[in-house]
Amino acid sequence: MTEQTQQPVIGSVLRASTVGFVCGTRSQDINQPSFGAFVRTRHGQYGDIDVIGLIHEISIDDDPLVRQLILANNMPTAAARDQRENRMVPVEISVVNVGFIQYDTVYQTLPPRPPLSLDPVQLCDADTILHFTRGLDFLRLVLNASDVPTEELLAASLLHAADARPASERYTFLVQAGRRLAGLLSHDLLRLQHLLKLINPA
Amino acid sequence: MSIEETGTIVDAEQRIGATAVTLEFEKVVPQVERMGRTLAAQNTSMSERTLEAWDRLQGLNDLQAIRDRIQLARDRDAGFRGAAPINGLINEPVNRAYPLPPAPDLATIIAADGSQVYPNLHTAALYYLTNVGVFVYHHGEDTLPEQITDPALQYTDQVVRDNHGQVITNAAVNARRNVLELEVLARETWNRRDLDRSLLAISDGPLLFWVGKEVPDGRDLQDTYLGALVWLHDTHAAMQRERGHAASLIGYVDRPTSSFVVSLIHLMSLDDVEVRHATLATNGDLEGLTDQPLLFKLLHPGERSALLVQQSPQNKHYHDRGENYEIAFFYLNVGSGADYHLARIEMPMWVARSPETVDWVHALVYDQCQVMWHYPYALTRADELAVIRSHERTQLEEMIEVELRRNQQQVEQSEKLESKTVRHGRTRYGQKRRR
Repeated sequence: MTEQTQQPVIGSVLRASTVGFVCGTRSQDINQPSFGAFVRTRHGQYGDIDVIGLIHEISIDDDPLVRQLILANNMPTAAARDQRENRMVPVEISVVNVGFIQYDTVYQTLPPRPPLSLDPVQLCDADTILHFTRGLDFLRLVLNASDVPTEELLAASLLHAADARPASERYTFLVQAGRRLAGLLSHDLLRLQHLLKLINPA
Repeated sequence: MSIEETGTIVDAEQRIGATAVTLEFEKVVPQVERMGRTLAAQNTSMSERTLEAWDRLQGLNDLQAIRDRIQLARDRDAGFRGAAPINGLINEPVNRAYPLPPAPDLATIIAADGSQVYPNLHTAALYYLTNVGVFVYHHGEDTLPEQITDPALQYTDQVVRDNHGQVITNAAVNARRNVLELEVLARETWNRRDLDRSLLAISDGPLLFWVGKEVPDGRDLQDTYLGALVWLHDTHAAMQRERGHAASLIGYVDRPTSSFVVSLIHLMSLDDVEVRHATLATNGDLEGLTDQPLLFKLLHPGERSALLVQQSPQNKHYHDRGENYEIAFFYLNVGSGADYHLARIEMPMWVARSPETVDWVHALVYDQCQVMWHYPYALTRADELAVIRSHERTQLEEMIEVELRRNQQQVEQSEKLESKTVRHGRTRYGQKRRR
């Protein structure tokens, strides 16, 4: 099993399925996560599975008090700080599962079980991303995911994966990913063209 | 069944698949229609009477005549419960509006509010819980506001039962919570007496506190409440002495339904011989009219009414404890632009008799109401901190059950509660069952 890293916890699991999960956090804690980032969550306290996912949506819930403050249109800085730092303005981070790591072996398929409520969710460190993206079978999972901005998510995740590599390897990685996408999207040249533009290393 | 099929209104729950519908809307609809017609007729009558009351208010220019008439009512013990101008100290005509002063540069606002879980014979153990939320807002600074909560669990027989062994009423819990709110407010204000600025303590609701006979320790509660009022005044005195700052207290009453000004207009409409209990038991031809529509005609957004005192035995009791503790009030239109919204701002006499402090309170409260939509921001947040949500109550009850079991106590929920849980379709964890 991969060692848990010292990466920051970005939230806790609110609800989950084998396809993906949603984690909750507070509004002042949303500096770290970004769209397309790789995250991991350990399956339960004594679990042996680290579920790996991609952030595909970060949303801030509706809040009646915030709505009233906006209507009043006269918000001092102290009230804005109060809303962001004192109040539990709930932020939801939606994640699509792209695989799991069990006893250090990477599986780029849906995990056998979802994470549990309140499991901590961490950003993956560079080593984990590198380890996980040696294979690119997860691209198909993302392409087939529903209710997800597929092209943008794939591009963002591939750029994250490229950044996790030494500068000298990034170009090769993105070209390799582009070739793989060309195979998967040979029937849909418009989507392929858009995706290749988004990850174009040049 | 749906709207399309029957052409009648059906319960929303029925449309989303719930099975039990007990309210027969076919029988309710004609009653709702009748209600609409009746209220419309009432409102027409109210508008006419508001105009009549407004005309009479315009004529109340002679403060001395008003004072003389109120004194006559007092001398005859005629039971007048309306508004009176403040005696001797401030000579504000009652039919004028007072403009919004500029807001102070710096101030600290301390707001407190409370909520409770009432005692319930059908839970595993007999208890009640109060929770007071305090929010401290530093006006004129970007400092992060402070938030404090003060929960208290009460479970001993001496507290949850009265002298006859009966479970105390919800009114008793409310009364104790009210007293706690003012005590916590006094404590938090006292703790900030060294700040180099004036303090405004805001309590939710009227400041006059009285309890009925159903509250077993009513007299003690009233004494404790007055003690908290004295503590706040002591804070004010200490701050005045040390740095010349003030500690003010207000009670904020949102959308008041009082008719103190209407009662005064009625009193002034009578001849001297008519000033007696029977004629003052109602407001005569103005009965049913509240101050709100009159004040909307008088006050533009930001403006306040004259400072007034409500005539009541409770307020006299406060006055008898010390003239600083009699409660005065003004009405304030906290709306903006074309939106009118009325609040009644109550304050003890140590605040009301200082025109500078009244201006300061007036400006600060209005400023707070502009941060939020027609309600003080600090009080909104104090309420949010205090409120006990249903899932928190469920969690508390579960914690108590676990603790009882850990102490080898038999936990037995009543059949009534179990039956309610089943009827309402709730699961063990307080969630709706999926259908």
